[in-house]
Amino acid sequence: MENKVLIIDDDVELSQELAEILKLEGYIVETALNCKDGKALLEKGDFSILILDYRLPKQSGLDVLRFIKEKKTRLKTFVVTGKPFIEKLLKEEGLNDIVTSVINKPFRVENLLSQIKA
Amino acid sequence: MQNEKIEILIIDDKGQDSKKLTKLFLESGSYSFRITQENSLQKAVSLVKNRNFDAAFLSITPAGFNQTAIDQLLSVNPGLPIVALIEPNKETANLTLELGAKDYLYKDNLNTEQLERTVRYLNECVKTHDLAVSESHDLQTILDSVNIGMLYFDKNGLVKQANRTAKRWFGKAIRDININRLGDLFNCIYAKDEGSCADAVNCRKCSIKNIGKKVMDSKKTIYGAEVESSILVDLKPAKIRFEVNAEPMIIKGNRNVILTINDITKRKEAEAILKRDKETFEKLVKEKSRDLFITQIELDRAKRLSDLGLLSATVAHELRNPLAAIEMASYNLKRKISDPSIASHIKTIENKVGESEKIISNLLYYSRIKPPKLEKVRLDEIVIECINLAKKRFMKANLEVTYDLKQIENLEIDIDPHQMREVFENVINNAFEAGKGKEGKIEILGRVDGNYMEFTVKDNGEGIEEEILEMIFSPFFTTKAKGTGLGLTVCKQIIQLHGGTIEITSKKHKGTAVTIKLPFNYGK
Repeated sequence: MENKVLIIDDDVELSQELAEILKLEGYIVETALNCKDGKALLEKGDFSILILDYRLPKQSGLDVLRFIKEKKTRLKTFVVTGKPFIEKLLKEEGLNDIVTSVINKPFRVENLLSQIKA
Repeated sequence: MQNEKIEILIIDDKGQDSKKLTKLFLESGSYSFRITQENSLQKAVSLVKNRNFDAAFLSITPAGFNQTAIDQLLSVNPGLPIVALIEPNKETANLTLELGAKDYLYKDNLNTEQLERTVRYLNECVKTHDLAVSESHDLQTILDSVNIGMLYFDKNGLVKQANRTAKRWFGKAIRDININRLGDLFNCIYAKDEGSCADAVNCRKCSIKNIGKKVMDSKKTIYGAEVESSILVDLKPAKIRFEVNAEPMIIKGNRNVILTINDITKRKEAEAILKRDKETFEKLVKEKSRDLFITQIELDRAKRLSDLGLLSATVAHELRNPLAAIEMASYNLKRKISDPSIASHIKTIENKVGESEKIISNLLYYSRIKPPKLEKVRLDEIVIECINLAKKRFMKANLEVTYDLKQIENLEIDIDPHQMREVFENVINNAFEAGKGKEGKIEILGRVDGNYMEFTVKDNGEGIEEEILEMIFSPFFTTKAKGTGLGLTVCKQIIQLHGGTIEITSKKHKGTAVTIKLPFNYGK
């Protein structure tokens, strides 16, 4: 679906706030707090947008990215992170081509929205 | 002596005593004698020189007593036993013994038996003498074999005996040297300046000048007197340092002195080298200890900074998540509440999130400074860009900005352009900051200083107090309300990573000057 968004982030409050923002913008939003749940949702749902926290408990966001690459799932992926300079790491892992954009936390909401809508 | 004929020389200018004596000798039943009679002392001396007599009998008449006769005979054969034939007189008898005769016989009381007894006594004397000569010879051989010079001075201070080493060193000088002028013997280099040892009255360096007298007076051995000598060794002039020991030897009340002399030139040289090496090593150890101490301090500091950096980075990362949540929560609030009295509070939250983000970025940058990636770059262009950026930022301030970068135009330098941009942005920004609020003047000068490119950034601002100046590069030190206190710390670290230096001088109320020096070819 064009406007279906999945948020994978272990910060519950952050996920809730972001989900609310996106819902007000007209998106259908689902959230997952870890990689496992996130991957399960990705497999079922027809998301067009993924907002992925880079640092997740147990496995990092890289695991989700590898999963997407493997399944050849087609969706816009935004990696949000508190850790700077992860672009280089993504390149090394060969995952940069499936990531639409890396957004550093904290980010201006307007900035995120404009990237999602682009 | 028993098996062969005993050779007897009789010296008698009158001839009477010699006839009588010959008769008595020939009557001997125990020994067989061959008698030679001589009436001239002169001829007798030459006979003694050429023939081996077992004994000589010298007839002495009170009137014509030649007191040197015994000495003359002994001078050609020191081992020859001499018997004096004298008129009965105790004084004459003693005198002849003193002069070197082994025995005396009274002329009025001569008989064969007495002669035989005298001959037996003389035989014992000869044996003792031979033994003494042989022992003395052995001793001389031993003394000659040592590599120590030995000189034996008699009571008059003249050399009586010298071993081979002493002769080799001092040669003929030994013959007429006096113990009180030893400086001449050694050809002491200090005595030489004064002409002679005896004239060298003020020769304070001398420890041998009065050594003979000192030893004789004190009757104690003097050890380790040293003298710098300039003598011929194997016909070559040589400077030798001698160590002289003087030992008193009192024989029959006569005060004699024995000098033993060591060549200590090599020892002295070795000592000098050891001393020099010791000093060098001590200096080296001192220097290295100091270096080590400084390194230790730097290491401690680096460790502290690195710990601090790691901590800062971790905290910074951790803060980013909650900040992101706050940002979004405020966004949602803004959308749900249209009350303008609340909107200003939401704005504050957004501003503070922005400021926090800035602080975190600085912290992370500081903890992530990496070795520079050097490129050949025109630094004047970067500096001008930084100046223009600052001008834009301080557009409203009334500032007069001048720069002169002619000397470094078109010159390339090995730097990491990104890191160096950070440095100049920071330094120029600080200058602009200092100059704003009054009629500020900013001057920037770039020039070449040998292998270095040098920049000076001057402002006429308030200046920096001395105690603040000392702390100015310390991390997290700041006087600004909104600063992280890392700007200049980062600058210094980057410049050091480029092999350069940064110095700040300042006068209160006059302004501040920052000087940055960077090597042109740090990459090589």
